[in-house]
Amino acid sequence: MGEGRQVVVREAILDGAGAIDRNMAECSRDERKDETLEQLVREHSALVYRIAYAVLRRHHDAEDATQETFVRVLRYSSKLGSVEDQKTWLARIAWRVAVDRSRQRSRKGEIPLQDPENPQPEPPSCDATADETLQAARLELRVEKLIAALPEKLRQPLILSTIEEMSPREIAATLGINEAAVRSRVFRARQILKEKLAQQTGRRQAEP
Amino acid sequence: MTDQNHEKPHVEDSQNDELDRALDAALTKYSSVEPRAGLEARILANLRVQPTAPSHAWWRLGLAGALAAMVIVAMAVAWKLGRTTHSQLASHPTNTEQIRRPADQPEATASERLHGNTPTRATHRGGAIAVRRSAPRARAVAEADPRLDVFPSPRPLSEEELALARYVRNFPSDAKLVAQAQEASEREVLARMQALANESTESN
Repeated sequence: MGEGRQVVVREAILDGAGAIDRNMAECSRDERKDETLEQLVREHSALVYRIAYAVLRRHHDAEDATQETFVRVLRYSSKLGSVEDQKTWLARIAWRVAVDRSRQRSRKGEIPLQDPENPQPEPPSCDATADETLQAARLELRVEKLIAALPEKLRQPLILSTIEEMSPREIAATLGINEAAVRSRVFRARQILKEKLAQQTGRRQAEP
Repeated sequence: MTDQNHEKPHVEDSQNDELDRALDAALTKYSSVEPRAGLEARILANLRVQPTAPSHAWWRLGLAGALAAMVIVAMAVAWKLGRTTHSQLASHPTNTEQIRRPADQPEATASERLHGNTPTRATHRGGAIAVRRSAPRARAVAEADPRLDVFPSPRPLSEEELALARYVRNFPSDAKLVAQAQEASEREVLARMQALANESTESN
């Protein structure tokens, strides 16, 4: 075999080896990406679901929004490595998806299948009497209506603050405002809710 | 009286606390929901069926579209330029076209005229005469033949030249004799002129 032929064969072998290395690197990168995504789903799917439910107030809508959130995450999975706080990043995506869906729903004028006037009764706890359970359910319903009537600026931080896993810092990052604004808005929203609840309670007590 | 005054804020405070507690409880329950069992598995299954890296696909699609658009634009420009050149050439009539010819007689190429090959004619409905083009490519070239920047410009054969060519083709031996006689007479004329010129120089 001539020297030139040997050189050509050697180069071909080196090229092949390089291609295999590149392929393996891509495969391992894909595997790592899949693992990260799976970890995100396992750790934060419940949080994403709660964010979606806090906005949409319907279980099947919240589940759809959760699915969409993770599909978006998959689409931008190349950015996952550069994201510092994955939880906040995910919360922000979930929030946007839920708000978009809520707007679409109100634009279409959809009526919720589950009537908010008659929420599904929760199983009564062992300690509470039937009367207490009923009163609590009524109060929840009233609070829900009052929250829906709040201005958006106050409602958004308030509903995010009801999610246990969300700190004021994370709420601020999700909404794109500062932490002090979150605290003050939540405080004001609570004040309004309390005033309205007190008014309603007083009216009810005066009515009989 | 003073006891009543003392008790009033106390009652208000207790009512306020009670309202706070009730509101806290209601707000805690507002988002304390658990997803249906198997949500994670459903999400992961959905993610597995999603096409991987769709952003690349969009990028490729966009690139392909841009390339296709560029090719179409280039083709359109080339076509338009071609048309412009053709119309410019057509605006400079060729010498061939300058020859006046009868209205019903189709134009013939130089080679056709030289060999006496006229295009075949066919009578169509309504008496209109159509010409079957035996050599369309050569004809198109002759039609589009521009005035060239070379000297001398190509000129078509005159009637005399055409008649001569026909004669040469039909009677080649006679034509050869005539040509030889013509050549001999020309040579004789030249010799005479030369002789006259010599005589005049000698007399001077």
